Amino acid sequence: MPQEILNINNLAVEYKNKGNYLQVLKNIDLGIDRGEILGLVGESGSGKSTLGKTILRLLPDSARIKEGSIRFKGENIFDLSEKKFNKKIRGQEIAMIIQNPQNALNPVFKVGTQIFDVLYFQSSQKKKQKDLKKEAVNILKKVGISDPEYRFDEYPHQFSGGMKQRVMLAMAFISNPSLLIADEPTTALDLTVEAQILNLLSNLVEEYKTSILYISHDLGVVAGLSDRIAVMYAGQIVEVANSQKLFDSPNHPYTEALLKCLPDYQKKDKLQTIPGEVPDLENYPEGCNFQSRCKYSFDRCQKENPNLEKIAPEHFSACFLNMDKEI
Amino acid sequence: MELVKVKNLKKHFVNNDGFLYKIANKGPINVKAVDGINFEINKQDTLAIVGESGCGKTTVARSVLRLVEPTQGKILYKGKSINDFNKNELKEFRSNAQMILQDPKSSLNPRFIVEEIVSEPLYIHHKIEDDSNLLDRVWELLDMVGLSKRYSELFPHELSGGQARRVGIARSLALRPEFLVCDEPTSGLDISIMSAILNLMKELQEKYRLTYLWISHNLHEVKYISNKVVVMYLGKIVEMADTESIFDKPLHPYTEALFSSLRGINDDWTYKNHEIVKGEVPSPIDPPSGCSFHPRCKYSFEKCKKIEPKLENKKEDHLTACHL
Repeated sequence: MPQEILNINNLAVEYKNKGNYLQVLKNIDLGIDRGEILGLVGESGSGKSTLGKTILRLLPDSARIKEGSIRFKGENIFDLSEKKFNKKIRGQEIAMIIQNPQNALNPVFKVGTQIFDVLYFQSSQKKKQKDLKKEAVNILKKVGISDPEYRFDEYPHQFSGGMKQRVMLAMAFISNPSLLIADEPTTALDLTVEAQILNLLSNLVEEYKTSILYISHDLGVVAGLSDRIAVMYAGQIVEVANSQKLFDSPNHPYTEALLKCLPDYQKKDKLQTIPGEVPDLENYPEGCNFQSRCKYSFDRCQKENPNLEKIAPEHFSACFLNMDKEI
Repeated sequence: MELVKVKNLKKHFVNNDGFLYKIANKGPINVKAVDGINFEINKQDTLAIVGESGCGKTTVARSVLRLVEPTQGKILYKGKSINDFNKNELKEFRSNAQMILQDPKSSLNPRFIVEEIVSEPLYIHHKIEDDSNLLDRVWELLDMVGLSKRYSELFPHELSGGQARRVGIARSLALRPEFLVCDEPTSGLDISIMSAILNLMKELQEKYRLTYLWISHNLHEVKYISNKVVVMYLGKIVEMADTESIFDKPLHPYTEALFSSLRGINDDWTYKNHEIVKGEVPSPIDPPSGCSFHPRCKYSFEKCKKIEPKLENKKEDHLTACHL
């Protein structure tokens, strides 16, 4: 049985807006095993980035945790003091790479210096500067940057988007984290460069045995990368399954509709669409959030909100259709 | 019948101004954004241009509408060169050929309501005889793109990404054009909205006999919507063929690499065991000698470094520029 390193239990997060609290995440139950790549997909506004930020406690002041817990290696991260969390977990045990590498690197410092700084604060026994520089050059080499000695002294604007994302990966992996949160790291990149970065990421994962929470809206990328996939809709996880299983036999009507929207190239006829829009945060419908757009919805969907239930081994779905089947 | 024909189009951007350049006296920098391309679009067809950023696809689109003047070459619209049009002819051309811009939100004037946005082309081209039925025309256009009447009173910030995109399409259709240039019309949209927009574009094409020049880097979308595909790399066409034949068997190594990331979501394909193209797109200021793809190509040999391959017909109507 693989070891579970992160466990999210019944998490609910709210944002303050004009004196009211709006539920951004609710009833989130999710676990990540050691060395596993978990893909988190959903449309914009479904709360996937908020979940990533909550795990690293990076939420803005206007947000609050309503209930629930996030246990990282058995310890509830909300119980730790900010200082302790910063020292032990953030950037050490849990690292993050963000969507836009341009914003993540400081434009006025050399790329090498920025890697050097991470190494410097990382090493507990203070090493010599020379050794640290050597280490930084090695790291650049490892993530596939050609001519690393020369590149060490260059500034971020001299790097291309793909190379910057490689540097971000290098910095994230310095502390050998147990969990990496990747928030759409390849959206701004070209197809061939995207494939290069994801290939590098897969290899690093195998080498360091790191778990990854890969947040994306691109089902194709997630399919080629992750072991397991969680689908989010309007602040809730609606389905979790093994990648292959999710694509072969989606259970939740939302997942099914989403997969049918993909312009699959075998057929030339009309694409399927999901009628309506993602409900507004301020007025979620009563009952199931997807109810108004779901073609299978019935009376019960309008009254109660379904919970994520096990429908098959390692396959979870939040839909009343399944419960009726069992009864 | 061909509607648009591009003949040996070249667009070089020259940069020789700036104080430091003059002091260093290095001579002008010549960016060959588009370097000698030929293609034609038949009536009611969809020609898709694919390629990575910086390969010149947007420059081609802008040249085709004469939004930039080409350095060399000609663009023929219904057999007439658009670069020789006089003022009146150009105005007529502008109403026949429209563009759908990339960013749905920033291409709409934030101070106009939807009614004003959609009716503006009608005013500019004096297509309104009577103000009284203007609103009817706007409603008709909104109805064509699947929006209800109430949207005519909204401001762009009140629209979602998909709705803003539909308003942009309605504006482009206001003058009943024949030819539409779509510059990444689905970028930045969610999957479910993207599929709705693709459906709409296809429906409109059939209904109003439109011809599309479709620019995209989303290959799934290209396969769905287009009849013919042009693959560009560093300002040149490396492969051109019918959609079916190019997706079935790409001939150029670059196309092969580009399409390899497009395996279906149902097979065992993963990024881990994926053979990747090395390196990144070189700068168009100083392109490699010979075939511009040779530093990244896994099949490259001596000849590729020296001689630039020509675009040749390898199979029936399947053109590719490769020595192999």
